[in-house]
Formats: sequence, structure tokens, C-alpha cells
Amino acid sequence: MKKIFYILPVVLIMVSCSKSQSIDNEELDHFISKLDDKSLEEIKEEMNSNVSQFESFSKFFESSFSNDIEIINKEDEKYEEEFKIDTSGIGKALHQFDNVEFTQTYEDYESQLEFSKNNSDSSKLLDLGEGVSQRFTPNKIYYHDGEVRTDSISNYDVDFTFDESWGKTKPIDSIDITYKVTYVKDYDVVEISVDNPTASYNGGEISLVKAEGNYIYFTMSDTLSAPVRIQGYNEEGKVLDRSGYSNNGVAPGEMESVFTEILGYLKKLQEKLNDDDFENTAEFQEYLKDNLSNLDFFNDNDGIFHRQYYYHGNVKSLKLYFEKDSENREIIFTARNYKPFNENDDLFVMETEDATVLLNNKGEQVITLNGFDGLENIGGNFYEDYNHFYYLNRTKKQLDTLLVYDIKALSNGLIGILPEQENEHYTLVTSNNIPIGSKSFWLLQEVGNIVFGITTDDKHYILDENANSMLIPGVTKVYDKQSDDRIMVSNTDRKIGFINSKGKLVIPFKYDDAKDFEDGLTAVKFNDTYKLIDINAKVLVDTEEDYINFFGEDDNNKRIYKFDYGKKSYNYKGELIEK
Amino acid sequence: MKRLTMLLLFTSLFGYAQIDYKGLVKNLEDITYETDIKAHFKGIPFNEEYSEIEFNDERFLRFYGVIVNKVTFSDSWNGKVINIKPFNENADYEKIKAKLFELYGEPETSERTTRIRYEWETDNKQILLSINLQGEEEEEEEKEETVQGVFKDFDSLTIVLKQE
Amino acid sequence: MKNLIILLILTINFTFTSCGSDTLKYDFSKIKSLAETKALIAKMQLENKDEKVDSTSNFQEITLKGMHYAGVPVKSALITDNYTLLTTDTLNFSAKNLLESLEAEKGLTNIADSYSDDIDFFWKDETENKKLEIKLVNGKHLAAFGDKDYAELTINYKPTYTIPLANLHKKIKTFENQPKYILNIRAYDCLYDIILNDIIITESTNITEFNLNNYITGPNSSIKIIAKPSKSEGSKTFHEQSYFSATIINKSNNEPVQEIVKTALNGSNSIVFDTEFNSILPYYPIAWTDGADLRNDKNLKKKVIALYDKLGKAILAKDKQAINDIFYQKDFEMQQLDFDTNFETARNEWEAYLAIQTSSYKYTLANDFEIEFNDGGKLIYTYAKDKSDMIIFTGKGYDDTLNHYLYQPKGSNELKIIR
Repeated sequence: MKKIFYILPVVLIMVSCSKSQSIDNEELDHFISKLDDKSLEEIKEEMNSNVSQFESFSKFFESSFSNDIEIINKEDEKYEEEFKIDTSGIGKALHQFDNVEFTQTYEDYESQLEFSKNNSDSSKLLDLGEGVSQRFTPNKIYYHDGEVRTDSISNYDVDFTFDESWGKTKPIDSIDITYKVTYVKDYDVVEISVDNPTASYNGGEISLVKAEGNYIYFTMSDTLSAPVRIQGYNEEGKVLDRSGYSNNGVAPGEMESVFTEILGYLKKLQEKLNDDDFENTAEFQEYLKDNLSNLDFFNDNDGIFHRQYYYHGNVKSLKLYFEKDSENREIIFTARNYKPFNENDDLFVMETEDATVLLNNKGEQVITLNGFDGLENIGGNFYEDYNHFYYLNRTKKQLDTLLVYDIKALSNGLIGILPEQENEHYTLVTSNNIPIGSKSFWLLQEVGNIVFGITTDDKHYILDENANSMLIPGVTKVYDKQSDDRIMVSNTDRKIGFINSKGKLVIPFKYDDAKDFEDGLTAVKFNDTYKLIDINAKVLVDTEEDYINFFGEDDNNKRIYKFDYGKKSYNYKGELIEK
Repeated sequence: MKRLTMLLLFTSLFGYAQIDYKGLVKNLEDITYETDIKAHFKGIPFNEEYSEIEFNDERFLRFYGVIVNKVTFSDSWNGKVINIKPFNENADYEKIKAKLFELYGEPETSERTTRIRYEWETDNKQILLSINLQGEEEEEEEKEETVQGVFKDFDSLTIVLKQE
Repeated sequence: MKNLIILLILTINFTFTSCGSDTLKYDFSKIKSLAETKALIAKMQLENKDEKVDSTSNFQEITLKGMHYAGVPVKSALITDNYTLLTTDTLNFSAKNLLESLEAEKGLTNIADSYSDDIDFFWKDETENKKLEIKLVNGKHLAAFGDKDYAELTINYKPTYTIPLANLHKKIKTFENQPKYILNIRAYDCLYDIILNDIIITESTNITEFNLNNYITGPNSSIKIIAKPSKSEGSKTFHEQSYFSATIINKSNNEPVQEIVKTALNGSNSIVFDTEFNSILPYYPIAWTDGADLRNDKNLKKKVIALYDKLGKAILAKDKQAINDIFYQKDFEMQQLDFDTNFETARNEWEAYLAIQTSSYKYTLANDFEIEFNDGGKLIYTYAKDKSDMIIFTGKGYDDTLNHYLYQPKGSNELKIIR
């Protein structure tokens, strides 16, 4: 489907509001070269569907952009701010990339990357003001296998919203990217109005053709560069809010004839294709090159560019802001793979039209699984799709279907399997589906990078990567956070203590309430009041409060301990905060 | 010509199947203690919960000509209780009030800054009409004069039909 | 005569309207299934080549002129594999007209509770569910519609099932008197076993209401209740405030049938209440009455496994007829004993079996289980020991289990599911 719609958009982009005011041969060549690897049959098919698409599209265009001229009531007018260059956001913009990550997925023999900012502001890019433009240029791609690529990568899109294609399917560890902000430093203002409809600027001419109600139409010489901004004013000189616009190489009334011309041309091509007039693709491309430039539209030789604007108000004059001088600032930042490639023998999944292909860290195809789609790796050699779980048998290069209730991959490399039901015990296997360990567990819980196996009688075991289990005496509950090498646990009496990451109870069960550690400190309650303790349970402060309200955060996102409805607070070092 | 045939077509196609909406309209003031509610409202869907019957289709419910949003019927120790919920329109309120004054005379009245209550009692029925008034709660002083509050919404409109 | 005139008008009208531009060409009120919807889209596609209507898509919005529901113009139709959503114009009292057409077709129905300001109506029957949402724009309410009020009609066409189990309601007999015997229990701090007609219905429970009809096979029934100290606090004796009382009532008229005397409980021994009651029903099931005494059956264990294995195979093979045959007698008798003629009961039951069938890829049987003999060995129930239940169905992130009362009809050598 994607392919079929290819030709049409390209033609339309050339027709409609393109930034450059004339089509140069380079662009034409580029367009034609896109047909290189297509067979004549494909082209024929595309052409047939495009012509019918185009027919309905041109029908839609006929009436759409000429009839909404209206007189706006004074009270319905909407205004906007007068244009000015605001560079205040630039400093912040340059510092927004301290922690950028990307996700890499693979599809049809191409890598797809989507970027995101992993800091507190927002995962998306900051908005910059008017007259400021930004550009990302990738400089270096560090592939996981050691290759560093610098050649022809500058056109890859650093996009924070969509997946974009980034070339070959090979795991990337990180990318160096140049971020460049360009902003207008100085500008000229040219004004035209009903009373002074023509202005000369920089050797070109700007002239107002028509102003009626909310609509204004003017032309500019092709030699002039595009203004940074165009603002419309009402009678009283207030800046009006714009509601729509159209920029075009062709005069408004001629749009229809342009479509007719192109349609006629496409039909002629279609006819020629269907009559098998071309030997091969190259011949067809040659024909295009010779003929496309003969189209009147592509030879826009009236020398002017047409602009139509609509406003939320009755427009009487326009100000055009032309850039006179600009300035750049740039930084280089590194974006890292959100899910880096760890194990060297890991395989990753690429979807193609009819198969799932497993590739190694060099991007080489290792196993092709025909007929599968939507496969996702769970962990180790275990995969799932919508309906089934699978084990990848690497020696036989095939997927074995596993008819089980659930498969859970653990951070220590073990795999937990529930064979039949939700409420039964997990059986442990290795990433190669070999049973391991002598125990089965009711629950598997991961805190930090520790895996706990829990039995029905609430006994907690720490499981290592070989499924050796070590009982942690007394613990009946593990809380879900590890920080400062401490994990909160409690016993049958609901007294709270802390274990370290080796499972040793380093702070005994003695607290009625506690929070997890942060910056080597936390609040615990015993002997009726809350105390601030360090990771060795040494009491630093007795707050003498019996009720903790909540944690706050200071300007540096550090914890604040609040008591007595915020009347008494301690900072993250345990110091009393003075009012 | 075309419009005429269309019109004829629709009357002939749907005429026989169309529901007689007018025929289903019920005047709540006609109901007495003896009325069998389900039989009286035959053909109109209802909800029944804990022996309370509710009708909620305003197309069929009228009280002295005023359109009624909802009505419930239930039995209590002192008779059959009809709870009427009109839409909160001042004109409807004025109309109902005028009709009740005309039929049952001066009621027992209690007025506050935020609410007015009228109560009528006859041998076989007891009617309570109370509404909430617009405006901020002013000083809680009892006012001698009639309160010139503005209608906000119906608080309750209840009729108890007594067994004779 | 009148019909002839209508016919004449119809012909004239169609010759007139079929050449107009806004004719009523596509009537959704005539559509009764997803297949017919697809056919209608195909017709639209054929007649509107320029509009690019795609008859293969499973989610599309169509805004062709000429769509209507029983004469009420439809502005847009959203058609998916699961539902059809029709939206009317904000013109010409379309909401009022659509409501009235639906009421003419389906009858009046209650206004449904709605979380929004819309006024909702539902109609449900064997072939479709319809939901009408009335959106008031300039109207006040149903008795004062505005011309701009519009409506959204959502239609779900239901699959038709020809399998007998899904059509049980058609076989259910109704009677003037349809008693529903219910055991109501009021108890404090005790657990109890309930044995009806020598069938252990439940053990060590504190549930307070039981439907008894399913275990009645004749006009006289016996009930035995064994009250035991609740072990919640580890005590083996009754608490001093423990008490037990129960009543069998006929729920169809709320009349008590048999009182079981209110008693304070004490001591550590279980207390047994034993009584008989008239369990007259207009219909008695055959149930296990002709069943063989299984107490000395040496192959019983194998037979139990064979039955669940047969069920597992039927489900995995998606053999609908076999599933029907395994459950039909049980479901029929239970629905008949409930005198339930609602089409949804049978349909829901059948769809529950279908759900197991579509979601599972494996079944596991219990091999080690205890057998409980009821009613002189004619009815058995089994308790799995090596598994959580007699049969476990597993799919990806899906599990379900089944366990039933079984009997063996005389002359047969195979067990059957009966409750």
C-alpha cells in the first residue's frame, strides 16, 4: 500500500506550497531516481491507481480554497502579538539534551529510531519562539559490534515523536548528534496596504492584488527569499490572528487548470504505459526527464510567487519581516540506546512482510521464521506473539510452541514458567529451557536486581542465576524498592527491618513504620516517634513526632521529611529546615 | 407531487405500526387510592424496585397539563404515595401552584429564605409542594413579609392518597 | 384494496425517488446481521464508485447520501466487525423520528440510566442489541424535542447458534405454579454442611442462600444440615453466641415451606438438623434417578478420567456437537428447574463453553482424586488431590477449571455430567 501512494505525494509536494519557489532540475532528478528499483509493471500499477486518486483529489481541490472570504464583525475579530524575536528560550533549549535515549526497532531490513528526552521537563522538544529554527545533524553512530559510522548519516531524522528510518539493521549503542539553533538577529520590515499596494525590496517587488474582508492576496518576486513572518493588520493597526493561507507558484484562479494539465499529462503517461511503449524502467525515466520539464507548471516563468492569507478580522495591510542577519549556536550531545544490546549471543527480532527474521549483533540474519509476525522476545530464547509462547531452538533454527499459562523472564537470566494455571507454582528453567533448581515458587518478585522466590508459607528466598535459593530468615514481606544497598522487609509481627543486596538482615526487625532510604537516610518509627537513621541504623535525629505527613522535594529534587502538617521539616541530610 | 407521494408512503408504511403516543399520555391527577397502577399505565415501561414503581418517560406523564420528568408510586403506612418530579421550570411551578390553590384553597405555608413549602390536606389526600429558592443565604432572620425569592428548583411534590 | 393503493404509491414513489439525488437508498433497519451489513456496503460501493467505499475494511466510516434507518436519514455510519454506529443529522427532528421508528419496530422500553446528559434506550433480543443515545441540542427533553436534536444508534448483531444447547429456552415448559425452593440461613459463628436428598451440596460453608430445585427429583425431600464450630479463631467449640436457624421458602410467592428451628449452639459436637419437606414441582427431572449404584464399580476411577478426557478432547477439537452432547442434559434440567425461558441464559451458557474452547490450547486432568457417593451411590462428586481441579484448561494467560456431579445411566457403561 505504502508504495502505491508514492508517486502522488511527490507530485503534490511539487505542486503545492513548497518552500523553494521554483522546481530545479535537481529535485526533478531526485524524484525520477526514486523509480530506479521499480519494475515497469509496478510503475504501471501505481500509475493506474494514482490517476484515479488524482482525479478525485482534483475534484476536491476545485472548490475548496476560494469561497470563504467573509466580512468579520468587529467583536469577532481575534488578535495576536506583534512579531518580535524572542531568544530567551535558546539557552534552555541548548541544555535540554543531557539525557537523551532512543528506542531501536527493526522492520523490513531497516532500523527505526525514535528519540526521547529522559529528563524532568518533557520527553518532547521545547518550543522555540518565532524566527528561531533548529536542526539536528547526526555525526557518529556507534554500533554495538564496534563499527563507528560517520558517512552519509547527516540526513537521518532525529525525531522525538515518530519512528524514523536509520539505515541498516544493526544494534546501535549510541549516537553523537549536533544540535544547531539558528535565530534571526536583525530583520527588515516591508509594509504594503490598500493605500500603498506596492513596495520594492532588495531588487524585487511586492504587490497587493486584492484585499477583501478577511482575505488578502499579494505577489512577491521569485528572487526574494521567503519572509520570516507575515502579519496582517486591521484598520486600527491591530495585529490579526491568521486563520489560513496558501502559497503557490501559480495564480489562484489557475490552480484548476494546473491540475487539469497534470492530470492530462499523467493520463498520457498511463496510456503509454498501458500500451507498453517503454522497454524498461530506464527508458520510462528518460521519457519523464525529457517531458516533465515541458509542463507549463514546472516552467513557472511569470517570475512571481502568489500568497493568499485569511485572517480572523478584516485585513487592510501587511507587514513582511525579512531576515537581515542571523546567528547560530550549537552543541553536540550523545543519545543512548534505551535498551542496549547486552549479551553478545542475543538475537533480535525484525519483522518483514512475510516472516520474522532473527539477527545477531552484527546485523546478520541467523534464523528466518516464515509465517510468524508480531513476535516479541520475553527473555533468553523465549518469545511470544498474541496467541502463543515459543522457545527458540537455535540448533534446529525453529520455534517450539510452548503450551503453558505464562512465562516470566527474570533479571538474573532465569525463566519462570507457570505450566497450567495462574495460581500454581513457578517452575524455573534456564534461558535454554533446561529445568534448574530444586524448588518451585508461589511468587517471583524482583527488587532492584535481586530475585526473590516466595513460597505459599511466605518464606522468602534469594535466587541467584543458577537458581540456588537462600532463605532469608524471618522475612515474610519484601517491599519493592532497593536504594542505598538497603531493601525494606517485614516479619510476621509486621515489624520492619532492612536487608542488603546480599540478603543479609543488616537492620533488624524493630520499626513500626519505615520508608525506603534515599541519600543514605530515612525515617523510621520506634518507641512511638519517628527518627531519622542512616544505613547502619544509627539514629541521627529524633523528630519527637508520632505522625509523618509525606515527603516533599526541594529545588534539586531531594527529599524533604515533613511532620506535623508541614510545620516541622527536615532536608535530605537530616537537618531541620528553618522557617 | 413528489412530496405528496412521499407523505402518503410514510403514512401507509408506518401508520399501522406507529405507537399511539397521544393515547398513552396519563394525567397523574386522575389517580385515586383505588387505581391499579400497572393497569392504569398499561403499555408504558416501568422500573420496579422494592415495591416502588417508577415511570420515567416524560412523553406520557402529565400533572395538570405540566410535563412530568419522573413519577414513583409506593405504599406506606398512611396510604399510597405519589412522588412527582417535574422539570425545574418556573412556569410549570406557577401553573401547578395556581391549580392547587384553585382546587384546594389556602394551604398551610412555611417560608424561609431558601425554601417555600405548601401543604394541603383533605379527607382523602394530602399534597405537599415545596421548592428551593435562588440566591445566597442571607441572614437567618425570620421575615414577616412574604419572601420575594425566585424559583430555583422543585424540592418535592408529593401526594399521599389516603384509604377512606 | 388498501394494499393495492399502497403498492401503487410505492411504485410511483420509487420511480420518482430513484432518480432524485437524496433518495432513501440504503436502509439499515432492514439489516439483520453482519453479513447483510457487508452486502449493503458492497451495494454502496457498486453504486458509488467515486467515493472509494471499501467493503473489505473492518473499521470504516461511511457518509454517503441516501443512508437511512426506516426513513430517518443517517448522516454517518461507522461499521466495524463488532458493531454498527449510525449518527443522524442535526436537522428535522431526527432524534424524535429515530426514537419513534425504533419504538414502532421494537416496542417501548424504559429510559436507561446514563452517566452523561444523553437519554439512552436499550433493546435486546435474540438477534441483536440496539442502543439509542439521544443527544439534545435545542430540545429540552423527550416531550419537547428540538429540530436539531440528533441520535446515535449502536447495533450489535449477534451470531445465530443452531446448536440445541444455545436454544434451550425454546424447550423450557412453563406452568402456572413454578415453585423455587430456596434455603435461607441465618447463623452466627458456625460453619455447616448441607445434605439434600442424600446429596452433599456443600461442606463447611457460611453462605446463606441455596437454590434447592436442582437437587429435587420428587415431591418429598429430606434435608440434613450439620452445624460445626467455626474454626476461625482456632477454637473447637461453639462460641457462646453461636446460633443457627434456617427456613426453606418458595421464592415464587415468598411463602415459607419449612422452618428449621432456631437454636443456640453449644458444646464441641456438631449439631444435626434433619427434616423433610414437600418439594412439589410441576416438573421432575430424570436426573440420576435411573442411575446405577457406583459404590462397587471397580472401574469408576477410570470412568471419571475417561469422561473428563472426552470433555477435554471435545473442547480442544472445537467439536461443538460433542460439547453440546456432554452438557445438554445438565443444562436443560437446570434451566427447566429454574423455569427460565430467557434466551440469554442458554446463550450465555453456550458462549461460556465457546470461550473455553477459543482460549485454550491444552487441558490437564487430575489423576489422583477422592470420590464422594451421594443418593445411594447413584450420584458422585470428585475432589482432585494432585491438581486444583478435575480438569484444567490452559491458554496464553488463560485458565479455567471444571468439576461436576456425575452419574451413570442404567444400561450404559459411561459416566455423564448431570449437575
